[in-house]
Amino acid sequence: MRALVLLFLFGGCTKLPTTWNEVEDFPILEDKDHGALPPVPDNLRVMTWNLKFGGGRIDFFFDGHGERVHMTEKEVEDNLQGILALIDEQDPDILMAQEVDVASARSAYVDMAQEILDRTDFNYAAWVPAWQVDFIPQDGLGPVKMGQTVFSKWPITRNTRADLPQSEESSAVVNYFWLHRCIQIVEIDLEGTPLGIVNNHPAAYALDGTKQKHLKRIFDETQRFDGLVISGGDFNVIPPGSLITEDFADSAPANVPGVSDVFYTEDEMASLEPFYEAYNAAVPIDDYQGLDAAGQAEYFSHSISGDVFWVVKLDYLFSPQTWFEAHTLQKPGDGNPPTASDPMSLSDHAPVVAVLELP
Amino acid sequence: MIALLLASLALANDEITPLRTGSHTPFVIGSGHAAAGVLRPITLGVGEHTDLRAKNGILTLFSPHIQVKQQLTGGDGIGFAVRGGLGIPMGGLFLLNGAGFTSSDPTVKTGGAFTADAALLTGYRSDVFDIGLSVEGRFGVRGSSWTLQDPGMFLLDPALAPLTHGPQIRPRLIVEVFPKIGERPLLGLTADWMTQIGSGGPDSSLRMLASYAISRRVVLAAGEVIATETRPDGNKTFASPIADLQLRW
Repeated sequence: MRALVLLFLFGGCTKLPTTWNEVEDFPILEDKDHGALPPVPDNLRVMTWNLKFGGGRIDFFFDGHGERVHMTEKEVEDNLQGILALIDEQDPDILMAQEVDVASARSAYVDMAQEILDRTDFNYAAWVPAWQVDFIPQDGLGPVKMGQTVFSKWPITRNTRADLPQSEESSAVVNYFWLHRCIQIVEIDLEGTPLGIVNNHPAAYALDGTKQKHLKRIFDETQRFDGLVISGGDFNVIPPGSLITEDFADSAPANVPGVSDVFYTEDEMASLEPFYEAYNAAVPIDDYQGLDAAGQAEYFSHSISGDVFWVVKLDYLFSPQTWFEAHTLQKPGDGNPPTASDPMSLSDHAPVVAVLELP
Repeated sequence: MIALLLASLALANDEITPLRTGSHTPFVIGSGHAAAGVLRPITLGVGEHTDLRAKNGILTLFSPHIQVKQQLTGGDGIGFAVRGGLGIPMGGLFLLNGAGFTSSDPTVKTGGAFTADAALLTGYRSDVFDIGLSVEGRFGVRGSSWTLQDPGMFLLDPALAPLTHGPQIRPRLIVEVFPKIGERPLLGLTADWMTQIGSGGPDSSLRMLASYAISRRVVLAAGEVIATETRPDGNKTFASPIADLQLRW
């Protein structure tokens, strides 16, 4: 009888969050209208950018700077146009994007993966979910469907999601509705030469060692590739040797976990050392560590507040190949070609773009 | 609730079967009779052929909605009825703001809106079953300040659909069987299918419910509701158990 009651109470109830297998493949999108693919150049332009689900610089409640929850379709379209303009002017061959909404109430259900694919020179896109909940009751957030996306001019042949563990710091209720971070593993066919892409967005707020576990898994997944590989994304940790590790100017005025009183520990920063030791970084660590605070600031790529210029570097590109022409697009005029867009207005992350020498 | 339960039992003085209230059929509950549940809409027999219903049960708190049903023909056998309703959701949505169900975004406005509906109902009644078939048209009028988008919650969406999605047509089929145990039915089995056709749809729901009369005035009900909602990223099916305690008099 008790089993019947339990079956009635829980067995017949739809689970609001979607969860995934440890390793799971996802579909690959192709722009049906693309013409002949461009020839693969000697060097690839690669960009990593956390798009903040097209939220631009709207102050959302979870940022601790505002009260907004839901954008109108026009707001999303306006922000998306800015993102598309920057992509268009920088013309990357590959974009590793994080926080890409495809059907969330907060971003008016706009499918950003499809929109970016349709409205840029990319011909292929691969999206994997990191947060898919049918209804989140906090502040009426509602349905959320967010993930990571790799865009490419050349065919994507693999799109795999590798699950990362949730932090155990939060309550079971919070974790029930919270995102399931992941590693996106993509393979691109460069006219017969396979290129591996490891697109990442590990834990941001956890202080229980989850971030370090995630970074270790990301490093291990990157190491699986014997040949050409790029590992990058929003790593949610600052480089070892950073001169400013706490008391950031963008700290939220309200006491919101994760966005007020942010600090980074030596242990967290040390988690990046294996990447720097095994791979070439678009921004080499020796260059970064040799700079004073003002010099390091030129590589900062994240600020929670639209009123505070970039305060930390969280976004990275690594590869066994050589990088050159690396730019953190912080303001108009940065990059080559100089960007006309103002990246501060487009997301809480600045895009990092660099050129990779192909073998 | 207990006091209400005891009061209703004390006031009971007739022989109405506790299970049949004519929900979504053309048949009315009868003058002087009433039914109410935690989830079940309140139904009052305000005339020999007229029912007044406050719809949505507990959601009435958030989206007040009243309906009047006028039975045109029929006792047992074939019946016809018309029904009209009015909903005033903004007060409830105001209560919900910040409570987790609708957006607490300060730019989201819900003031000045109402929904209206009109339905034709037909059906057949025998001593052991009711069948009801209805078609309802629904539309909403919202003030210029209205900015609430689809709340994305299927239990709330059907009440707000004409406001968030536009005009809709809602066909509904309900079959209720009352097998006799002893001298009178103690058990009711209900299958209730509804679909919403119109902008934002089609959305459908199937409610399966078993009701058991523990006394002449008190009914326990339990079952399952399955709803399919058309979402921007495809259809989504939800399922949830439902349970109710209902009073009839």
